[in-house]
Amino acid sequence: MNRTVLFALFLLAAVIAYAHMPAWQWMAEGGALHPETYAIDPTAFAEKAEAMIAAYATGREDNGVPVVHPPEGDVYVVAHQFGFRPVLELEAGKSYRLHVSSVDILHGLNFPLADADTLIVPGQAQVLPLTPAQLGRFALQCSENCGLDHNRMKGWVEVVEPSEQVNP
Amino acid sequence: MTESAALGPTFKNELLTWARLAVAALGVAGLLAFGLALPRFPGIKDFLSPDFFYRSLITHVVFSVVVWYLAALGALTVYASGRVSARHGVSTFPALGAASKWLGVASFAFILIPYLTGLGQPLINNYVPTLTHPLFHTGLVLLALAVALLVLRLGVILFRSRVSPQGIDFAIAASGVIYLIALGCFGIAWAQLPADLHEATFNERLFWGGGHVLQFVYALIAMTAWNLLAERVAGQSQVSEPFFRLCAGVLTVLALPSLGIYAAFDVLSYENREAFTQLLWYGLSLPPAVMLLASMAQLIRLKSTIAWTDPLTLGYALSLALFAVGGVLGYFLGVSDTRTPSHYHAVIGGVNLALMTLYFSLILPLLGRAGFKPKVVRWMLGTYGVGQLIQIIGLYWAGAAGVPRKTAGAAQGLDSAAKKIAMGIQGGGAGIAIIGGIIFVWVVGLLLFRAKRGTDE
Repeated sequence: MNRTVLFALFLLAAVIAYAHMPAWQWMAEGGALHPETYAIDPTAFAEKAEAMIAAYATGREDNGVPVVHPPEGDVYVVAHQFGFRPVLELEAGKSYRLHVSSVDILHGLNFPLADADTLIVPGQAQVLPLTPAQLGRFALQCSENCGLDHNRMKGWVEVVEPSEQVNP
Repeated sequence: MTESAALGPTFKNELLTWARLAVAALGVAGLLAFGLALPRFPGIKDFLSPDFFYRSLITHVVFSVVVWYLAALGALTVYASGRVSARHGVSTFPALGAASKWLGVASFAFILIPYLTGLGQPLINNYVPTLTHPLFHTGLVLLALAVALLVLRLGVILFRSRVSPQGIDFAIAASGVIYLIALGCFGIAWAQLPADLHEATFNERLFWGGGHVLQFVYALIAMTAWNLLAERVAGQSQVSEPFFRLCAGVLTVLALPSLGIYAAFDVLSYENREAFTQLLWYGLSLPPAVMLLASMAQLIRLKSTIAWTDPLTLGYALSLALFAVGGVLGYFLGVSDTRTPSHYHAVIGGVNLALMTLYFSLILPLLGRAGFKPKVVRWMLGTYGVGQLIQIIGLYWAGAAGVPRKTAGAAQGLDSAAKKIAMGIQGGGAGIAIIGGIIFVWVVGLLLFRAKRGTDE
């Protein structure tokens, strides 16, 4: 193989490698990688989550984390070293807007049920639309190293049968 | 003139130091592996500090991966420098070599002292886990500098030789270039990261990009070792010399965009993190896969003429098998469970075996210290390779069953029979592999560290 061919192959590999980055940027700007976000003070976010827990607690706990059964609409999950609070009990077929934020340091969120893999930044909430179809227990997992117990930082969403509609 | 004689006393002396450092790193890592096992015994845990497991794990990983591979890169770089220098009569720059040697020795001590004296807090960030103490960080910087000096010297020697380098020398120089790119990534990340970040986040992002690029270095070290081993096992290279240069060159070119990632994406962003993951997925796949397949194809093609009872053949073939299994597992990972270590134990095991086999086929003979028994070497390479294969099966199964990575004791949550059996298999495999590792360190350590009359001391 002569040097010209070698050089051409190197050049081709370089072009492909470098073209990858703007393509990635374009995807990012197109919103494919980012869910809806808004700025919020970590304390204020934690208060919203605690208010939801107080209003819709089921009385059950999962490893010391309260299980809540909120109605359709906005639901809140706090990421902290090293867990997610609360455990959500959601109804299949209903639509939720899952707000997630960190109250301490940078965390990640891997949540296949909502097709989400994102960073959870303190001071910024992510909003993930979620209409669960499948019954079961689904994990939220931290995907950004956040300390010694990072690998055990898990949260849960339990999807249950929808309750019967009561007409007013 | 033999290759050993051609290397010259200066380079042989440097090679001896880097070969010793690499084996000593494995020896220390092996001793620290006991530190990983101790907290699992009832009763003993109460006498240890709460973070003893993590401190042992971090120091074990740094010595068994970072120091071992970079010292091996140092040894290969000295080898290439010596070959080119002797062939073309280029100056050997002995002062640079000596400075690098002592920096390497000092780095070893600096990295180890915080573990031995209980200094710093453990951080289990990816690629280069750390103890948060200036001594530990100084050790890492000294090691980086030591190897960088060797790489830069090889560059100058190649430039002054004014001829196109041979495939092996080109590949080793390319490993050095990728290594410098990795250092560039560490430097850029350090400059861009806010100083007031939580240290877990700071260290994770500091070592994320450069850590990915170091995987390119390790892969090219394996490719180089396979190329050298093919010539010794099969009597010829598995690919033509220009094609080998092409593989090494493409890998280098594919590592280059990593520097651009820091310009394109904020160091703390999701895109920055994912761009490096993608770079590894797409950039690191092709050249090692081509070399791996070519190596396997050559062994199959020449199966009737190859001496399969030769320990070098066994080490070479098991290295290829482990790397292949690890490469495939890399595309079926979970999140934060033991499927991730199953992938990297297999790949690292493949690179380790290639390097270990290279010690017996090249480094020890070059140093005139090849007084080992083939039967012992066969057992050593066999137990290490087979043990690793068993361990990765167990780790992958355990991960699929939900066992989290980087945990010990109750934190593993072994609440099902599948998890317990899988972790039992991984433990058994690891035990067998450790026996192989101990034999390697013992045999090679004795040969390298014993006094020898000659010109290499």
